Amino acid sequence: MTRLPPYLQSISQVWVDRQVKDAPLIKRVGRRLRHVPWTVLAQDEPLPQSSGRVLYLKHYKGAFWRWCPGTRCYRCCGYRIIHIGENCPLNCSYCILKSYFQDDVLKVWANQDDLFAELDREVKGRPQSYFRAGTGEFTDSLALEAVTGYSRDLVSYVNDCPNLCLELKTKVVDLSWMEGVKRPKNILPAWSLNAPDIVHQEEDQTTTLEERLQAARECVQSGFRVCLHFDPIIHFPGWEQGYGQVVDMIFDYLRPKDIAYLSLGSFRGMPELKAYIARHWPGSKYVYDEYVTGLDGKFRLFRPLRIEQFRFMVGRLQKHGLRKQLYLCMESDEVWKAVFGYTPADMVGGLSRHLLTLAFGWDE
Amino acid sequence: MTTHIRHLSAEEIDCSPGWLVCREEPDAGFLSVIAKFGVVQPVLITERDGRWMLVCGWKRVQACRSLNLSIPCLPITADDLACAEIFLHCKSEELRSGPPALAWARYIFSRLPSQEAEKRCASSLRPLLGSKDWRCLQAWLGLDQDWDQFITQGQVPFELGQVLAALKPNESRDFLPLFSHSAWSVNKARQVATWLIELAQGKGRPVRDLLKELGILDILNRDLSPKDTQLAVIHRVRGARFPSLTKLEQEFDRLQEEVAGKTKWSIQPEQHFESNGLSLQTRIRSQADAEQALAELHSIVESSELQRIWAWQERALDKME
Repeated sequence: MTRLPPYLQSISQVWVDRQVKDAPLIKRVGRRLRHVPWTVLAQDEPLPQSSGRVLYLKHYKGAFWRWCPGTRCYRCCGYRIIHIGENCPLNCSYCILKSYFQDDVLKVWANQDDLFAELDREVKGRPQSYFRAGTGEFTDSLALEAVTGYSRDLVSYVNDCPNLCLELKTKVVDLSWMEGVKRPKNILPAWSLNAPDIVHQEEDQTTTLEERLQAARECVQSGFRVCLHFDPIIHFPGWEQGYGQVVDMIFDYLRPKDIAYLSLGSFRGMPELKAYIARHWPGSKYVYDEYVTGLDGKFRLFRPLRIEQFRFMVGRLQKHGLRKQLYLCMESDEVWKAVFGYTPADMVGGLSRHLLTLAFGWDE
Repeated sequence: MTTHIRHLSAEEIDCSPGWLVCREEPDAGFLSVIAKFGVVQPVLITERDGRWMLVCGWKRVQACRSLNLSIPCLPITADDLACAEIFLHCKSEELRSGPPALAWARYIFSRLPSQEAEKRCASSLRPLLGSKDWRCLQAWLGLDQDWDQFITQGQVPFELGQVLAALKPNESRDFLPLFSHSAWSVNKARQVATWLIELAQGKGRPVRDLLKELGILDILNRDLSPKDTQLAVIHRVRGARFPSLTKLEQEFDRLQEEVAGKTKWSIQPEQHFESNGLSLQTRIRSQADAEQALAELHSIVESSELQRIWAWQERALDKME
């Protein structure tokens, strides 16, 4: 048996819905997690009591193809989500999923036939439309790849889908999906980055920044362009040095033209998230900074402080040659204007269209 | 278990047992009813060492005491915990409220080992309180009993328990000088406690040090009304918790006073300055008021004074000094 990455070694049991027990994905997971107990759940059977880390291979009845749940009053990038599961094994203190979901069971939607049927309708069935979609919204795109091979299935599907650009957003290194790709232009491997101190103190199970950037370079060498995300940017003593360091580090591994786009998002979340972090991560002092309630009811760093951080990072990234690829995740026009001097309304077709252009490389 | 009804004088009944956790004095209306009809529902009593202890019926006993009437009593055989349970069921309406429920729970905890007491309280009180108040009660049970008197007096809102439960009992004691001073509303108490806890945790300092450092103890010792004291405390704590926001709010207030101070209009920024939007508000009571307000609004808009506010917003919010 191949040794599992450290962040998956804590999986101590697997639950499977009876309706999907013969699905190909289940057989694959079965080979990779045969050392832990499996429980097959009958339809509508209440979930067993969980002890330790549970992987739940579920027959999902909801929508697989979704809009990103952007909030009102702030600019959303028009991202589409391919919903493949919920929760993440990486255990980062700032993770918004902690307040988003009711439990920490790792859920994977195992009825992939239903997912692909929905994509056939929504994507293949609309060949004149172009879509930028990702799987890294409600889970890490690749953290479970070593046991599920989900992304490999998805990239194989995208081979026949020229109107879909799929982003695989992660904080780990797993490039096993690459073998399934025939059309690298339509796949955007993406890494979330943060200041070294934040990675060290607040991310429990992620890979190092060097490993992430090295993996990004390998992708570029294999013909892919990559995406990078600074989200959440955290305000902590020494943030300028920390974020300056990681921005500079990017360009030790990548050229500006290798990066399709790069997003910047300030730490924000539902009010309960702060209390969750205070309870479970008592050493994480950043939650006591000047967070105020935003227009969408979420807490966010007081506007002048966010602008200061964005300006610093954008300035540093621009010095390295990144310009049009930079955008802000869920920010107001006022902040856009203060940071870039323009707002998404000034872009032809808006932010969504701009990012679609970058994702498909139409500007090259 | 039961025997015949006995008639006793108020002096023959011991009204001090610990299970009588809520005691309501009879009012004039109640006294007149008792005077007219007598006590039609017997009080419950139980015997201890030859003395009759009241199980339930404190108000009726007090009424009879002041009217010099004998009291019909139903003697029951029950140990202290059973008496507490019977009292709870007789007074279930009152015990739906947090403070008496806490007093009842304290009595149970004084009579049983913790785990057993918790089980007993959960089965008896939780259905009465509902899950939100039950969580508050659990929080208070983990904190010092010093708080109980302030909760009973209504100075400390019952809901504050959950906020203080984030602290160790000795840390929560640091808040006693603040909340024992005057009666706090739920929102104000929760807000000021949350900010102080966040400040303390962010700085790694105890709350008692912050109370001194921020001059909160001095404010409490000033000869101010309770309302003014609380406003001064909130203002001081908020300023420390949100220094940049507070500074800009003060600047904005000064500016809006210059722009609209002589008119009936007030100008407010968007919540926490998240956007550059402004709200202009006024109150009118008559047609004349409306006409005057409109004229003042015209003068504000035409004088380009609003432009000053937007210019300030761009300067102050988008570029930190």
